[in-house]
Amino acid sequence: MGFYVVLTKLNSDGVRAIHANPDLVSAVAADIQAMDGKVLEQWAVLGKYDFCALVEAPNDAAIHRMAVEQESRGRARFTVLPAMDMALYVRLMGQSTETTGPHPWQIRWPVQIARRALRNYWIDQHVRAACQPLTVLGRENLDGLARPAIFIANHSSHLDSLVLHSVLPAAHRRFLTFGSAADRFYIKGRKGMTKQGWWNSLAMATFPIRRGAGRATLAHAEWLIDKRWNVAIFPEGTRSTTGKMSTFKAGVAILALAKGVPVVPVFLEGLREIRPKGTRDVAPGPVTALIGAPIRFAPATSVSDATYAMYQAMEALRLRLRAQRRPDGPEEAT
Amino acid sequence: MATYLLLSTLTDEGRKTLKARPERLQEVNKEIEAMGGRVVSQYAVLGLYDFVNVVEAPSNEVIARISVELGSRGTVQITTLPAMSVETFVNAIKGGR
Repeated sequence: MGFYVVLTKLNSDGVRAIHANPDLVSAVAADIQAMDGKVLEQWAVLGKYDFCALVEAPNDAAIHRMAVEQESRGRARFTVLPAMDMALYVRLMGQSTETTGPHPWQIRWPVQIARRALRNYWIDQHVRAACQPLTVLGRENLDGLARPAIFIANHSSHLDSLVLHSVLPAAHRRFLTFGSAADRFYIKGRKGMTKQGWWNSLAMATFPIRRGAGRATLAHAEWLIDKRWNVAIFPEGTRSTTGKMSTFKAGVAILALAKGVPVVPVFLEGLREIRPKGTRDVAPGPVTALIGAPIRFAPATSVSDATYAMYQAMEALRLRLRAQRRPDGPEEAT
Repeated sequence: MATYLLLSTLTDEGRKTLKARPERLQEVNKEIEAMGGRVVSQYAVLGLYDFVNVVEAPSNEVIARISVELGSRGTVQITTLPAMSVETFVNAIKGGR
C-alpha cells in the first residue's frame, strides 16, 4: 500500500461541470474506491490548484491507472506525488545508506548456543509480556514436516517475528532464520550493541533483505536452505498499517520454486492492536497464531501463480480465525 | 480555525541541513504551534515538491507569518494555499445559486 498526494487543477470544462453538479467532487472519491484506492482526506484549495487529496492505493501502477482514468474525462489535470510517512523519511535521511551482513557464522554451533542463552532475554520475555494469552492453533499441520521449510506470516508489528518464533515446535524453531529489512536492521554506523546488524544475526538469526535488489538479495536465503535451515519471510515486505494484508512480494515464491521447499502459512492475529507500526508502547492483549498446512508447489508453477496461491492460503486462514471468533470478540479490522 | 495546504520545496541549504540533522524537520512543528498554528498532517513526497503539510491556523495573517518565518531561514520555499473541506466547498457552490 502506498500513499499519494494528488493535486488537481480543473480546466474550464471541469469548472463548468462542477458548477452544474457540485456533487461530482464527491463522486470522484467513489470512482477511486471502485479502483481499489481510497481517498483518505480531501480539500478544496485556492491558488495554484483546485483540490488536494490524500489517496491510498495498492501501488504506483494502480494510482497511475486512476489518474489516467480520471484525466480521460477531460475535466482536470492531476499532479500525483508519491508520499512517505514523515517519521520514516526522517529516519531514512539521517542514516547511512551502507548496510552490513549477511553473516554466515550465524548457523555455527557456538552461535546457536549463544542464541539459545539469549532467547529468554531477547524473545520469550517480550512474547510473555505482550501476548495475554497466546493461542496456537494448527500445530498438527507441522507433524512430519522435514527441514528446510519456508514460513510466511502476515506482518503488522515488530512483535510478529518474536511470536512466529515462539509458536513453532522446537525442532523447527532451533533452525529458524528471518529475512529482515536491510535498511532497518543492518544499517552501518548506528549506535548501541543491539542496533547492530551482527546482533540481529546472532540473537534473532535474521539476515538482511535489500528492498528492490531482486534475486541477488535472496542468495543468503538460498544458502541457508541448502544448509537445511528454515527461513521465515513476511511476504508483504513491510508492516501493514491498515489491518489489511498488502499484496505479496515475489521473493518467497522465487525461493520456494528454486529450492523446491514447502511454504508454511501462519496467520497472526491481535499483534497490530498490541504494538502497531510507529509505536513503542506495548498494550498486552490476546494473540492467536493459526498454522496452516504446508503448501508444496509443482516444479513448473509460475512465480505469480505461487504468490497468488500463498496469498489465498493466508486469506483462508484469516477467514477461518474470523469464523472461530466469538461474537463479543474484537471487530474485524478491514 | 482555517485549514491551509503548505507545499514546500527544500533549497540547497535545506538539503544540507536535512542530511546533517534530519530531526530538525520535526522541530519545525513545535515552532508552528508556538506561532499559533497546528500541523494536521505532513508527508514527504516525490515530484514537484518535497513536503506537503496540512496546517490549521486561525487566520490568513497567522499562516502568512508562519510561512514567512519558516521561509526566512533559507532552507525551504513554501507555497501556501488556503484549503476548505470538500463538503464546505460543495455546499458553498450549491448555496451560491
